[in-house]
Order: sequence, then structure tokens, then C-alpha cells
Amino acid sequence: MSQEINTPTNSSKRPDCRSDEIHTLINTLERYNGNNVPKLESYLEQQCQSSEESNNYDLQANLALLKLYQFNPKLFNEKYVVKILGKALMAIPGPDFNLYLYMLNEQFTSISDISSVIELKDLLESAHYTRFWEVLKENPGLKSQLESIVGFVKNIQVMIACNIATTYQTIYVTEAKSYLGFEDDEGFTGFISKEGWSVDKSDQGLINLPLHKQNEAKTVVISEQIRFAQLTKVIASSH
Amino acid sequence: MYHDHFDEDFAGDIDVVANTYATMEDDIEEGEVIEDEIAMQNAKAGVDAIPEAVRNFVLNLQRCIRNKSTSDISNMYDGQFNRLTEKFYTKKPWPKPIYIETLTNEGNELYYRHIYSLLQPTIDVRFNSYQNYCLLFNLILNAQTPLDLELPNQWLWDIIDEFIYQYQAFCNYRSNISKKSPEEIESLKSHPDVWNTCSVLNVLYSLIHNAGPKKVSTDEDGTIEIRQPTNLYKMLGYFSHVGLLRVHCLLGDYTLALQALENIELGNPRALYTRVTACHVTVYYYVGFAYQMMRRYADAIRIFVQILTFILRTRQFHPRSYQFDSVNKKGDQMYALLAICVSLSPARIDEHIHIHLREKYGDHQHKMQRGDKEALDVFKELFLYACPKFVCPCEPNYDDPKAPAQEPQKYQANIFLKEVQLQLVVPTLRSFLKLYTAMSLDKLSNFLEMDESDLRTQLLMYKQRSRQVKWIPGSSLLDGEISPATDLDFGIQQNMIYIAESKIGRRYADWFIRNSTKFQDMVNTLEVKQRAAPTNAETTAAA
Repeated sequence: MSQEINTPTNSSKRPDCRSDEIHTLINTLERYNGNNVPKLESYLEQQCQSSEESNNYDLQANLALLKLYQFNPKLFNEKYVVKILGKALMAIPGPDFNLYLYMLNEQFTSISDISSVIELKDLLESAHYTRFWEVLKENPGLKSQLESIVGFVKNIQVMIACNIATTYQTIYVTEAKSYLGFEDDEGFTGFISKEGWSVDKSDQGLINLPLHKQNEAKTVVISEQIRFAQLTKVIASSH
Repeated sequence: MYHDHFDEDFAGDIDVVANTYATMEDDIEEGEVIEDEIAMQNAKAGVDAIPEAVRNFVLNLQRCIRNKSTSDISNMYDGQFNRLTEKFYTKKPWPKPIYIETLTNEGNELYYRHIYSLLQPTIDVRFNSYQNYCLLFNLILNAQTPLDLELPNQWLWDIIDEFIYQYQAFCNYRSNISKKSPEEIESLKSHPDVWNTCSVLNVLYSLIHNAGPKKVSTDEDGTIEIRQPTNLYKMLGYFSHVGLLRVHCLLGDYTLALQALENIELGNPRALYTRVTACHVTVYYYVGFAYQMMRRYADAIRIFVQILTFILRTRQFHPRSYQFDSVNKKGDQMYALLAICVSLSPARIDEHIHIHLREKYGDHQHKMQRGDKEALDVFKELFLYACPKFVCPCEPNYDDPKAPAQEPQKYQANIFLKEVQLQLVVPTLRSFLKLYTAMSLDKLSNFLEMDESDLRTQLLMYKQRSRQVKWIPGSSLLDGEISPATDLDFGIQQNMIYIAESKIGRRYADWFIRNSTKFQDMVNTLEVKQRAAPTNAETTAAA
């Protein structure tokens, strides 16, 4: 889950994992048909099982499922809502979590597992990463549900690492470790070397992060851009 | 012509008018229009009670509709209906539709609309109005051949607009059952289909389907007979797209809301939606609102500024009608939303709009930027004032009188306010960081009166929050690219923060373009003068 600046997000485009059947389903009036709930649920299951990094998430299909729950509260299934929200945690810093939340009926948000996921989301979004891992650990039932989504922990770690990398040029090992939720050194060393981070040679407690546009803090001068339309008059009169 | 005449003559006492002209009416018109109606015998008394001017209006309207003179209809619809309403029916409903119906079919819709706008509707009226819409839409949608009917765009827009408004009003009405009488609950329970969300959506989708702004059938080898939709179908379908945008927003599905506009290009000055001002404003209001809820503040600001500029510019051209008021109200709400967005994501906006914004919400903005508890209250106040009236798509539990009232308004506001709380870190930190190019963490934590680990968290949050998805011209409304949303960036090295501000370079192009155009104009004038000069000389010589 890369969060490079200037990558276009195409939330209106169709992800590769979406089958034709699902595609027609959510683009026609069928999306209001309560009988389609099982199809969307199994599609969600498939999104949670797939290990393909970039293509196992379909915002629109999941929104369609929540819409059916919204219209037919009797069909509501807590298990799948938790899964959808778990997927949304992995999509932070995108706004997906709130988009789902806006569509839940109010009474559902007081269900204990769902309100716990909401708490987790608040922690992640307010960058209380250490606390996030603690709360997750205190809640074994929810933890196992979320971790049944393939790549959950790893995705969250990458997301946190990404944010650290845009903020810090150097960071203390202890800090980074608790942010990323690592308990053992081995996993941690493996993870940071994969991210391209290196431990400082003179100070073993410090990690150097690669410099790039977002963490080097260089003054940028925004130069003006001229649209072609601005020049039409000049060009037209130049014979 | 006609309306001038009654405007002058009928300014007097209503009763007198009704009496004098009722007799005349008996002789001329009544015979030919309602001759065959047996039911009319009973209704006659009712019809007689209708003031003459109104009856003439209805008959005239029917005649215009038959002759399909759209401009006349629109004149009558926009001007006369309101004038008559003001004169006769400010306190009471229009005459029962059954009496009007004996005169014309299409007037019914106006009857219910009037009730909704000025009077407190009872439950029966709500049911009947729904039935009336069903009849109207069935007539339009199920006709074997396209209906041979032309109505002004304004009216068509109002039909869709009012249809959704009444749906929304009904949902709000039923949301709190603790204050309802048992009879009311009973009749709500026995009519689950009335103003049902799915049926409302169904109507809108069907209207779109029938209008077919894009080709519906793409059968490649088969011969497809393409029947060009008449203006009525085309416009109803078009307005239904906007209707969907609105309904989806009311339901909290912002992604789908923006998707509904996939075939409509925003920002095109000749787009169809510009033909009806109310529609134009509605489109921008809901698109801007959806962006705001999707955390795309920069896009929301762009949209609001565009439409507010439009309202500002066209202010003096708005006809003095109910539309004028609603456009102004929406405009005011959008200033409030703009104030919210600008506080969350500081940006430079158009000067005129900025002045108006400061005039209206300067104090609010000041408070919001402080980022404390009081700031949140201001955010809440503005949000609740300016947000659409959200609806719950399903019925409340009628059997449990103690069930808590559905409060979608509060629910959406709470989610948004939490979002605001997270986002507020950006303007607060920015105002401190802006003063330095490098500072130590403990110095900043002293300023902010928080301990260092909290500050680190806040700085991480700032980074995460200072990026937004921004729309790229030419792409669909939902697409965009992630780009920095503030002009301030920083990096932390051990205990030092290094800060950099992006600056806007000097703008030369505009100056050069303006001056070269000016120069070109000057050359043109000189050339014209030069060409004219010899002729002048010749004439002088000849003389």
C-alpha cells in the first residue's frame, strides 16, 4: 500500500478483482435488491482472503453492501461490517472509514465490536500508534477477527512506517519500535531494512530515514502555470 | 394580456370579484369545458366557490398546455401562480384538487406543493400527495407513446425538487414517533409503501432510463430504433441525476452521490443545469457538501467559491420569486460551509467571496481557528445550520413508543465533528510553525503547553492530515490525486524540527498577456486611423 504523493486515486474505476457479475450488480438497480446480500458478502470474504497487495479492496462494492444493510436492517450482519471496517483501517489515510461510517445506522455503532473498531480508527488517525497496538491486544476477540483479513497487521505497519518516513529524518529505535508494534528485535530489523531504513553507525539507538521530498523540508517556489486558454487572444491576433 | 388585465381589475375585494365574474363565467366557459362531467354536479358548488381569477388561471393554464406554448406556461407558472397565491391563499390551501381536476390534470401538483410550503400538512395530505406524484409519474413513464406534453424547464425541475423535498419532509416527520397519536402511527404502519426510499429511487432511475442521455441499449448487430426523447423526458431525466445526487447525500452515501453526476460536466457555462438557477445552485451545493464530507476540503472550497461567485454576479437578475429566497438561503448556507472548509484547510480564495465571507462569518472563523472546545461548538453550530436534512431510509419501530427518535442529523454531525477535531491540528500547528525555519521540539511543546510525546503525535498527525485528494481537471468527480494541502512542510531530525514554507513565485505571465493585448488593441486602432486618414485627406483635397 504505497502512499506516494501525486499518485492518482481512481476510486471511481473498477478494481481488477471485481468480477463482471459484481460489476453489473453494483451498477444497476440490482444494488438495491436485498437478495444480493450473500453475493456481496462472499465477495467481501474474497477481498479479505486475497493476498494480492494492490487489488484486493473494492470500496464501491462494500459501500453497496452497507447500503443494503442500511435499507434492510434485518439483514444486518455484524461480522461483515467489522470486516469492512477492518479493510477501511488498512486504507487510512484515505477517508474510506468515515464513508462507511456515514452509512451505518446509528444503533449499530454501539455494538461493542464495532465501537471498538471505531476506537482503533481514532487512535490510528490521531497517530497514537503505540496505544493502537495496546488496545488491539486487549481485545483478543476483535484482534482475531481483524487478523483474519490477510495482510492486516503488515498493512497497518507499512502505513505507519510511511507516515513516519514523511515526518522524520532520524528517529529513535525505541520510538519507531513502539509505533510499529514490534515486540521482538528480529521482526523489527527485518521490517526496517525492507523499508530502506538504516541504523546510525555512530549511535545505535538512532535510525536514519532516506531523505525525500516530504521530509527534507525544502522551500518550494510555486511557479505560475499558464493555461492555453489564457493565450488564445494573443495567438489569435498574431495572424 | 390576460394577466395584466386581472392584475389591475382584480386588485379589489375578493368576494366582489368572485361574484361578479362567476355569473359571466357560467355563460361562456363552463359549458364547453365541463359539459360531460356528471360528477361535476356535486363539485359544482366547490367550483363556484373558487375565485373567478383563479378559475380563469386554471383554464388558461390548461389551454396553454394544450397548445404547448412553453413560454406562456412558464409565464403563468412563475408569475401568476405566485401572485394568485399571495392574494387568495396565504392562509389556506388552494381549492381541493378534485375541483381543479375537473378543470385540468396538471394543476394538482401545485396544490400539494403549496400546502407543504405554507401550511402544516396533515398525514392524509402527505399520503394523497404521494399518490398524486405516483399518478403523475405513472402517466409520464408508462405511456405507450411518449406523452405529448411540454412544460417549462423550471416547472420540471420543481417537480423533481419538490418530490424529493416531500420525501425528505415525510421521513423527518415519521422519524420521531413518541409525539404521534396512536391513529397517526396506525396509518403510518398500514402504508409502508408511501414515500418508501426504494420507490423514490426507483422513480428517479426510471426517469433517467427513459430520458437516455446516454445510449441504453448497445446491441451491436441488432437494429436499434432510437427514438429521440422529447424535451419533457430529456429534462426530467437530466434533473433526476441531480435528484439522485441529492437523495444519496441525504442518505449519507457521498460516493454514490458524486457518481450520479458522472455524465454531467461541472463548470461548463453552457451545461443544461444552468438553465434553471435553482438546479444550478443545488448541484453545486450537494457536490461541495459531498466533497467536504469526503475530507476533500480543497475541492469543496473550489466548488463553493465557483457557485457563490455566480450567485453574487447574477444577484440582480433573479426574479423576485420563491426561487430567489431559496437561492439566497442556499447561498448563505454555503458561506457557512465555506467558512468550515477554510478553517480546516487554509487556502487563498477569491477576493470578493472572501470579503463576503468575512462579513458573514468573520467572528465564527476567528473562533474556529482557536481550536479549543468553543471552536468545536462553532463548527457544530455552522454545520447543523448548513447541512442538508438527512433522512433515515427505514421506518422507525412503530411498536415501541419509547424507541429513541431517529436523528440522522446528529449522527452525521458527530462523525464530522470528530473528523474536525482531528483536522484542527493542521491550522493550529501551522500557525506556530510558520514563525520559524528551525526550532527544537521542547521549545514548541512549551508554546503549546503539551508534553513532548504528545507533540510528536501531533506532528505525525499533521503530516497525515496535510495531504488531500484533489480533483484534476478533466477527470470524473470522484478521481483526483493526493497532493499537499498546506503551504508548510517540515522534517524532524532528532529533537529539531526543520520547517519550510512553499512560496508562490512572482506572476509575470498575466502582466505580459494583458499588456500585449492592450498593445495589440492600440496597434489596431492606429491602423484603422491610418486607413481612414488618406480618405480624409482626399476629401479635403476634393473640397
